[in-house]
Amino acid sequence: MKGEKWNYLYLLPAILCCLFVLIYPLFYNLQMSFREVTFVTLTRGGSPWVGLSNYRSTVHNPVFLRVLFNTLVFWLGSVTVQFVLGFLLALLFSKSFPLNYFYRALVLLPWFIPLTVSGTVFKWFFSGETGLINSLLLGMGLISKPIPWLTSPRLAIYTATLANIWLGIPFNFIMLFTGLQAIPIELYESARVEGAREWQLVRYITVPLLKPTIFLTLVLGSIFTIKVFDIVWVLTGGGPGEASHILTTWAYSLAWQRFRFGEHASVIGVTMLLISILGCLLLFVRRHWRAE
Amino acid sequence: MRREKRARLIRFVVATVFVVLISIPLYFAIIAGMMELSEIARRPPYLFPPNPTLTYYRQIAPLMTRPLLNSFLIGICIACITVCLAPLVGYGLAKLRLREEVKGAVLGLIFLLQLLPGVSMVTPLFLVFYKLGLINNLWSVIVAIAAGQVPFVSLILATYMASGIPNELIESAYIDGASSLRAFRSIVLPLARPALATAWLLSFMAGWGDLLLSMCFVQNKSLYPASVAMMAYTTSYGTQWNLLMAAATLYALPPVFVALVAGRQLASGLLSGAIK
Repeated sequence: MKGEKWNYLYLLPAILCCLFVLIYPLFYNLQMSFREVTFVTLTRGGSPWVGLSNYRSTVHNPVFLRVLFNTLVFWLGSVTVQFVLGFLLALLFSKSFPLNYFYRALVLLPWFIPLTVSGTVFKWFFSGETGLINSLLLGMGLISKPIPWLTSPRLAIYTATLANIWLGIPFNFIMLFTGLQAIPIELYESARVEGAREWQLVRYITVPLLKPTIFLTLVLGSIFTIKVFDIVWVLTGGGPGEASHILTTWAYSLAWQRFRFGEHASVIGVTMLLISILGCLLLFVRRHWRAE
Repeated sequence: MRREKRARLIRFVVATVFVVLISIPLYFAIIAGMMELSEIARRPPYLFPPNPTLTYYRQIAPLMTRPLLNSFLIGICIACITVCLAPLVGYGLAKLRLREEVKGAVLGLIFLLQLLPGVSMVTPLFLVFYKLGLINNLWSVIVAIAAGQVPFVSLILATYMASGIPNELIESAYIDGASSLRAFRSIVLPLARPALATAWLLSFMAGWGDLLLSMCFVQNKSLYPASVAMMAYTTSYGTQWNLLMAAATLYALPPVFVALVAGRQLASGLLSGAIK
């Protein structure tokens, strides 16, 4: 066909966008992580090269271990509970019952509410004296004094994880629900004829056939969870003190509250390393899946 | 069939419990905006507002008008930019005979972009917009988010076009002497309309909900989008939860409405971008 070379121009918008928001930020952060950058040198240039000193001070920062621990709690807590709830919902909604179609839209709702709204609502829910959760528990006589959901340095990250679980249910639900639709119904019918019980159907038909989707959901869910910023930022701001920072919020506060851009870039470096590992896992899972 | 009837009923009850639990945050935000502070703090909480009032909605509405308008503007511009550019890329990826390595490289870039956390874009992009004099200008937010949306939405559209638009239609247009652009405009675009609507809404919501970039790029109060304004009110109104929840409800209503009408399509659109 004539002029086929020009057809590459169609891809140009995506390439330019990726250069702007992917390649350039990656390399800029990388070089910034080897420099000592203040707000003045950020905008005017001339920040000195300091080698690995940013990485050293990040790793030796007492907050760092806490942040790693928080990220681990936040990640594992979110991904496992979201997955279990999403899976149960997907199993339920793949059967017929009244209002199924309408309810599905409601289950997806948390995905589309602005994160600042969800964050603020949960901030009220979990606040100490007038929070909805404490009012409920106190009113029912289950606790005798308010639980410091957000003000206790020990508890805050678990509270943030609870909020994030709510946010992640729609993604897990719809992934697994879509996966379930692809399983031929005859398989269940013939197993039922042979006298299999409901849980056996799940155990011996659903789970094995759904394995690729399950892996994909878990790995994608992990990547999304490591990337989370808004909900934690709105809910706790990384506080009290720096007790509930995860990697992303800590990186943000280092740059935009303390103006230590070099260390900020090194924290992003650590985050990217973690995400790259998950990204490789994702590629592996998808290749494995295609091969099947 | 009596057993199946009972099973349906049980499923319905269980699903209702789940749906109620999931809807609790939104429901209580709406009704908290209609209550006095003392009513909000009652133990155990009221399930319905005892004396519903619109006072707090009225009080916060004038303060939220400007921020909501800014968010709306940001969302509209991002959606339009994305829907202008992404179909071209989607068409290129799904329907044009280009070298596989080139397509693979573009898909690889889009894949990487989805791995990148937003916080790692903030500082480098801030610098660019600072040099361009676009800090405190909504265009910085618009351009940054649109640039993130275009590749992702391209992937969604490519997936849709690959399976939803038959190659024969495009080839017959070529035989009639149409150029690739002509085939794009007269065949692909009209057939891709449902996917374009999804794409438009998804990129609108990406702009409507943004907090991170707006927080850094916009310091001028009159330009605050709703997200940044809400963060500011949280600081200044402290524990006046009725005002804050009224503001939150106003900000959440448009996307909630869209999600109730088109949530399933939007979700499958998002999935087709993430799984590919």
